[in-house]
Amino acid sequence: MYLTANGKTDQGRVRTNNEDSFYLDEKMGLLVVADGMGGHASGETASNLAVNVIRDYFQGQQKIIGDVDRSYSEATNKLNCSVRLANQAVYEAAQNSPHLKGMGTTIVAVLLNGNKLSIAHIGDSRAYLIRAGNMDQLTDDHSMVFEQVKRNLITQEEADQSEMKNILTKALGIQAQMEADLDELTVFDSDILLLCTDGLSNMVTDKAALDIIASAANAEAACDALIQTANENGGKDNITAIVGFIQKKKWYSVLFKFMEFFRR
Amino acid sequence: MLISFNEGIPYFSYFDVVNKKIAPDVFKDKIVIIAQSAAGLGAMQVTPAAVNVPPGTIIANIIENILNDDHIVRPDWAAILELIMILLFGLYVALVIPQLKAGISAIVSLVLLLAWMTTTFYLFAAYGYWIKALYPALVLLIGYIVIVSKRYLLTEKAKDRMEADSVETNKMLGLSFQGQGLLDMAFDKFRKCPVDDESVKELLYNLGLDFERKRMFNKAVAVYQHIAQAGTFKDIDERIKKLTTAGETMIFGLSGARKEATVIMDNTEIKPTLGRYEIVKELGRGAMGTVFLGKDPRINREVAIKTLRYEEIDSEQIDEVKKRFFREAEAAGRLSHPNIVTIYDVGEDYDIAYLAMELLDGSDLAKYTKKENLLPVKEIIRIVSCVASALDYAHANGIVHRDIKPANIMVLNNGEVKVADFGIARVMATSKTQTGVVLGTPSYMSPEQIAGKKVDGRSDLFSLGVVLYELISGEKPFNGDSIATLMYNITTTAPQAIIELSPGIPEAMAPIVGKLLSKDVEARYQTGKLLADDLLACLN
Repeated sequence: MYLTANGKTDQGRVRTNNEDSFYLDEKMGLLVVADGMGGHASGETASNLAVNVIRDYFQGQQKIIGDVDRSYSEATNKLNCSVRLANQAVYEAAQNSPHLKGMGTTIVAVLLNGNKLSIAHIGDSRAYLIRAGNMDQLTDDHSMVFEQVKRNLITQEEADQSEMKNILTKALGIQAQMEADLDELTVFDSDILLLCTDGLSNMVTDKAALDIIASAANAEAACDALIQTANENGGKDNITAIVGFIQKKKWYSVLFKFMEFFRR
Repeated sequence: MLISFNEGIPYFSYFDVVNKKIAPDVFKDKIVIIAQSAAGLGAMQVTPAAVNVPPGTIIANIIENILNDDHIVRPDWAAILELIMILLFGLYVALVIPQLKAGISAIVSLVLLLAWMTTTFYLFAAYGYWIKALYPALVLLIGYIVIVSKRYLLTEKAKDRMEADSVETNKMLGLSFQGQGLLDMAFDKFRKCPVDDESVKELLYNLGLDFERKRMFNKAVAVYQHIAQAGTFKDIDERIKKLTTAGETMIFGLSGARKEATVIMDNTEIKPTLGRYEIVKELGRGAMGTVFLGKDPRINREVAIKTLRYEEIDSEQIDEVKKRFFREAEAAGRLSHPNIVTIYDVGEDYDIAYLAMELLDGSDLAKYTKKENLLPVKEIIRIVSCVASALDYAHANGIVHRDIKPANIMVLNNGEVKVADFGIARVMATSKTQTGVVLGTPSYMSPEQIAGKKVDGRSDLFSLGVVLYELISGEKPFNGDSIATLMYNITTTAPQAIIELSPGIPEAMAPIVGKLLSKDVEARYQTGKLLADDLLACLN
């Protein structure tokens, strides 16, 4: 399986700076989105640092750090290690600089390995899977309201109106150790992935996002349209979206690669 | 023609035959071959059947093969078959083995090998067909060994683990920090790597250049000197010389220009001020911002200065938050009660809003919530009833605390009890667009707070009930291994009866605690005064 993806981030209509970050690498099958938080724009530092550490990990030798969870594949464990390293980096940076103290970030990262997708996340940034016209949220938000809904303390509608919508129960970089939630999934041809921060999911309903992606010509157009819609609906936070299309490797794709080589 | 050698072809010495030693019947109806076999005359041959075979026997063998059509054949299709098998085995080794697990590929390969060998053997034994089994078998065997060892070697390499503090992680983290402009942290990380490594020297050198670009010359020198420990590298010697002289004559700038640097700086001789207060030192960090020790120069009194940084709030909300902050501070400032921390002044300076309040010389209750450090019951009653009357007064004046917990209740060195942070906590909590505030432990929150409903004074009393429970028993009434479980317990589970945890307390206290911790707001104490009265009654 291979991945064609594009991502975009936007400050939104209300905020004065953009504390979201993202990174994508189609060849490696890596997509990462982060939403930073903290005083005086330290959120920007947190999310940038987290995303860069994960990027550097996968560009390097990808060695395992810490414990391995045998119930998950090697790729998922590597993703977990990269998130662990990012947590260490953000936490240490926060501890050592007074103006960065208390900074943290959400993180959602997916890694495509063959036809297996590994997902790791902390916080309320989300990963969705679109398959056969349905959109499924792959990650459980680590937010107060989500926990309340899960416990049936409040309904989903009340959650959407709640004042505490933005309070998180877990974040990257605020504690020395923080374990991400891991998941694995088999993907099929013509699956679509969407990674986004709450700036998108709070402004655009799932149904609307599904329609936008379905009618977009390519990943780039999809991202642009999603961000535009989010801004039209208010743009109250930074908006970031990555859209990735998964396709099966056709046998003749080898020929295309061959031709690419000669074209250079 | 290939000869199938058989044993048991009888031969007789010529000498014997001529001398009538052999019966003539032996030769009846048989083909007789006469040939020389004496040493020097006839050459002995080596055959698969025997070692020294006279040529006559060989001829006899050949005739026998022809007569019985019993010879070894190398069929036309043999060469093609061998080639095909070599190809097949080659493909199998290259394509199929990598897809199979180690055990399965071993079994399958073994089966294939045996099948091939038995087939060729059978063909030879039964039909005399000679198929060369060796080359395909070799392909299979060697190919299998190569692929399996390749796979083994590769996976062994990948199993290399990295420790969280190893050289590779430190290099990686150091680079990430450097990329974010966190040069000091990058230096810390690189310092943990061995300096005699060329790549590490390179990283450190680039870091030194970055420091220079930011005009942090003394730090750049420190980096170059660190490299110099392992010998010279590029031009670090000249750089060190140049920078040390530069450092002595220049004033070092601070890294980056931050707005608040004009008011509160890390290393400076000038005393910063906030409004009319002199900032002496930092006391700690609160949820809102930093708390400083300040001095009011006009009346020479030491105060605590709590600050609220505007940068932490989004610009759209700033006006609203500011208004709210000052309104709350004003309201809290109007509160005049012996058990409430007195607010002296409130104001703003550039981009910081501050609150000057009485400096408290004591500590909070947090340390008395540990089992080994519990206060005597009398003292607990005294403290909690003071807090109750403070709350009663505040509620009567329309102010809810919202964040009652041991850390917000101070006991001074002279025994006085003071409740801090009145109403201020509310300012931050209701600022709507506050993103990603990570919840601390909500152990003290009331059920209605957790459910996101509006709260009033009785919510404070619930929280006070939790504090009372904890002070008496050293344990929290509601626990959970995750925030979700904790929240669930607060809203649904009844706590363990206090009398079970601390049997020594006065009888009348248990129902007080129970009433305070009722999930139903109406069932609780409706005012702090009623609570204070009941508590004091326990002392009798």
